[in-house]
Order: sequence, then C-alpha cells, then structure tokens
Amino acid sequence: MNTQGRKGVYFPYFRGKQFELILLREQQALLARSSFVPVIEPVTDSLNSVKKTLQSLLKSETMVSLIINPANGDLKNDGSQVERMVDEDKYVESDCFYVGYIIDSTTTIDQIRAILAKYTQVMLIHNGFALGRELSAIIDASGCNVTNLFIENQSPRLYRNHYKGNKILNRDGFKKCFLNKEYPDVESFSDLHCTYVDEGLDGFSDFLINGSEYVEAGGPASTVTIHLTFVDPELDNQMFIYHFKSDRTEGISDPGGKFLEALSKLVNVVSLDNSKILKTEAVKEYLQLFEQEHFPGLGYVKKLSMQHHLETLSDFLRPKD
Amino acid sequence: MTYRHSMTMQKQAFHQSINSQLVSRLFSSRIQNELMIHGRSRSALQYIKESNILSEVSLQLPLRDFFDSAYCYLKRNYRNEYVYKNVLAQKIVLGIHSLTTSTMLSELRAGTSKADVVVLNGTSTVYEIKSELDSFARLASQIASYQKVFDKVVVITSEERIAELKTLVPPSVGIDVLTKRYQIHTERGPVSSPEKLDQAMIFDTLRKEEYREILTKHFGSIPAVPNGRAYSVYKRLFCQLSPSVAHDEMVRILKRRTDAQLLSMYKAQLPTSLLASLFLIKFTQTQMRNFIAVLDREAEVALT
Repeated sequence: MNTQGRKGVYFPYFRGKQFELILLREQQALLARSSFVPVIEPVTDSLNSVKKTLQSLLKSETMVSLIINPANGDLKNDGSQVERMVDEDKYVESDCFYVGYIIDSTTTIDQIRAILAKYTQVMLIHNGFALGRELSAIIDASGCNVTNLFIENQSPRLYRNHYKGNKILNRDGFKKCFLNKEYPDVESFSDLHCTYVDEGLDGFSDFLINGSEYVEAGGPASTVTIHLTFVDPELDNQMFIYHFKSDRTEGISDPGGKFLEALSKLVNVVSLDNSKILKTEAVKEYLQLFEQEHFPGLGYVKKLSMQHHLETLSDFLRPKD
Repeated sequence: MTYRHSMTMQKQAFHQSINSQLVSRLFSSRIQNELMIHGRSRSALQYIKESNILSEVSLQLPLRDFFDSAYCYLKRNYRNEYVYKNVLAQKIVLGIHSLTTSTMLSELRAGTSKADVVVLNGTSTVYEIKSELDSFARLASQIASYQKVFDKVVVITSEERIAELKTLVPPSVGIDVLTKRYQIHTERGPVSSPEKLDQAMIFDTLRKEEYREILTKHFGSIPAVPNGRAYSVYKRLFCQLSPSVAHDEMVRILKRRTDAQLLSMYKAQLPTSLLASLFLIKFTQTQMRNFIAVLDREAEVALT
C-alpha cells in the first residue's frame, strides 16, 4: 500500500497502559481504514507491550506516533530507553511512524533542534513551550517533516498562529469529576470534529474518555460509571457524552452488581428507537454483557468505551456518498 | 541567663531538630518493600539524612541495629501507629500465643472502617490504635462497625488519654494502655458481644475465594450464577448462616492469610523493631531471605 499523501485527521492520545495497548492492537484495522493516528505516551518501564503494539500497527501500515520523552508514569524523568528502542527497532524506516516529542516550559531550543536533526518525521506535542516565532523558523529551516499537536489549554491561539502547517489541536472534551457520582447523566463533549477546518487546523485530537490528567490506577470505585459518547445530528453534529452510573454510590463492595446497574441504564437508552448512540461493535458487546449479566472488570469496561469512541468518530468522518 | 542554662537550651534545640515524622517513615511498608524487592532503598537513605537522626545513630552499624536504634528513638519521642503495631506483634502474637494457633492481620476491612490490627486465635479481637498522635473523632463509628464483625474490641492508647477514652467507649470495649515504660497494661478487658455480629458485614470482610469456600462447606455446592450477580446471590446465602457460625468460619479462613510456617521460620531472624513487618507486608520466602541478608550489612552500604 502506498501511504504517501495519506493524511490523518483524528489523533487519539493514549497513555500506554495495558488496556489502551490491547485496544490499539485489536482495532488496528479500524485505525488503518479511518487513517487515525494514535499518539502513544508510554507510561510503564516495561516496554514489551508497547513494542508489540508498534510492530503490529506498523505491519498493517497504520500511522502511529510514539512519544520518546513521556511526561507521566514510570518513564517521566528518563525516556532514554524509549528513544533507544525507537533507534534499535528502526521504526523510523516506516513512513507511518512519527517520533513524538513533548515540548513544555522546560524544553530548550537546542533540544528540539537535536530532535529535528536526528529524525525526519517528528510530531511535536506543544504542552507549554512558549517561543513560537523562534521554533517556527527552526522547523521551516530544518527540512524535517513536522506535525504540530497542540494541547489546547497549554497553547494559546497567538502561540499557535506562528506555525504554518500540519496543525492538530488536542481538546480534552472529558470533564473529569473527582467522584464518579458527581458526573451529570449527559453533557457536552466537543465540537472540534466539526470545526477544526474552520479553525485553520489540519486535524483534531482528544484524550478519548480518559481526560488529560494522568492517573496511575483508579482505587476501588464507590460508583461504577460507564462513559459513552455520541454525535447528535439534531444539534449540528456536536459530540456529547453519557455517564451511566450505578444506583448505589457508597462502599466498595459488589462492583459487579453496580456495573449491572449502570449497564441497565445504558441498555435502556441504547434500545430506544430514536437513540443517538451509534450501534457500534462495542455497544453490541455491552448488550451481550447485559444479557449474560457478566462483569468483565473495570479496565475492560473502559476499553470498550474507548473502542466505542473510536468507532463513533470513524463513522462520522467516513466519506458519505 | 546563666551559661549553663543556655547550654541546656542549645542541647534541646539540637535534639528538637530531629524530624521524628521522617524517622517514622523508615518503618513504612513502602521502605520495607523496597528493601525486600530491590535489596536497597534510596528513599530510606534520604529520610535518614533529612531527618537528622544521624546526630543520634550511626550509619556504620549493621542495618538491623540501625533500625533498632531508630525505633528506640521513636519509642521515646514519637509513638506513632507503627510503634503500637510492633508492640502488639511482639507481645501478643509472639508472646502468649504460638504462631501455629494465632496470627495477626492489619488493615482488615470492616464496613466503612479499616481495622488497624486483628488478632486471630480461638476467636477474633480487633485492636483500634489511638496513639497520642491520633484523633478520637471516628472512634464511635469504628467501634460500631467492629462489633458487627469481630468478637472482642479493644482500644489501645497512651496513659494520658485513658480518662477521656473511658467517657467515649461503651463498657463492652476493652482498653489497653501502652505505658511510658513500653509495656501493655490492660486497663479493662473486652467483653464479647456475639449478639451484635452481622453476617452481611462479615461477608464483606472476606475475599471471593474465601466466602466461596465457606459456602461450599455449608451448603454442599454453590449455585452457578453470572459474575455480575454472584456477589448478591452468595451474600444472601451467607446470611443464612447463624451469626456465630459466620464469625467462626471467618476466623478459621482469615488465619490462612498468613503463613504460620513462614512466620515461625523468620521471627527470630528479624530485629525486634521490625517484627510487625511479618504481618504488615506480603512477602515471599526469597524476598524475606534477601531482606535478612540486607539487614546484616552495614547500613550505609546496604541502603545505597
């Protein structure tokens, strides 16, 4: 397959934990077909699973960006082993591979210069770096193929204006609540998937249903919540999100029973004739779990909802004839 | 101010400059886990240096003696929860009872509370630790939860707080005191209150494989149910047991959470200050062997 000229518009940002990586491997056909470009920030010091995921994505010519200087998790202060893996495994030989590099207020121009000199296809994750004019000039002069992914609340409009092309905006549509029971039943998620072109952008990005804040592992939840996104054609195709919560919100016992409480609310909404939730493969699996009264574990539930988000955006962005 | 007076002041100021809280962190499960798994602990070294404990204890001691000396400092100056747990481990479990018939568990769930220490022998006794650093704020609700799960409830506290404590707890609750001389003195014994036991609360203290085993024993077999509903079905079944049977089965099965053989093997090899770690930390035989090897090395070398 010739991948030259293939352009992604959606750049889902993943913290590379177990279920995220499994999801990427399982959904590589969908990712490739939709020209999605997952961005992976590795967060565990054992990189085997990341390696396996990259190999499988690149083999099927799925575009992917791997961040070599993670800002969260085990590798927060030293990403050298990620860079070593990228160099040893020669991922850069594939057109589909982007070297991801986070630039923030502590990053120096020289560091960026070195990255642009070393690699030919780089994705800069703008996360608080401020010298827009200078960097833009350096990028133009570098001859390196640079994609700019801006984390919205760390990249002011005037800063972004300095950059000429390949601009992606990451907007975190997920409004994280401290406690699961605080989530409203349904709320707005984002409209960036409709407006990114008008905003002069080449693509958009989000943290799916996880939120931008990195959490190592959730403790036992008193309220079990299933998050599910949908596009509302009656409201200009804006994206919204349902938070289906268990009836019981106290104590940590019986997560399985609480999951079924939340799931029955999901099933009620999905089964309505005029339901706006797309009947994705993930939703079908939720229906099946309800049928079997089976609780697959909270990590799996999150994975299913992420899958649903990918499937929903893939459907929305699919060229319609 | 006389010269002599000012010297005393200086000495006091010097002494106060030891950060007791940092010293106490040396006894956290985290540090001991690090030593067991990695055979060293940089954070321990950092706490040691920042706490200024080196003005009293030398890093050139074997690590086991270093821990004992640091513990001695805590015993005199900062009796936190760990000190209470360690003295309980030492005097109750390794003293009166033998490890084959009794054991101790920590941080066991009981309703919305977590029991500091539970001693299991023929029956169950929960110890709620109220050191001079703890507040009595949650005591009433803790006691109410504990009485639903355990046979006897004891609050253990410092000498200064006995009087206040007596006004707060019902007569069935025992009161132990950790005296200034570091002895456990029983101010009054606990009275068992089996009528308060609650099968549903006991059920929630157990793990899945534990309650499944109890149910199989009493009902022959257990119904196959989808796992989303398993909890409520099994809990309903468990509640058919009488409260005292439910409690006794809990004691029997909780004892298995610790390995008596392993504990007996290692209790003599640990310094007194770390006896509680037998019960507070989950370890494998290899990890414990490594831990003991590390304890015999010079502290500075061992930690770096």
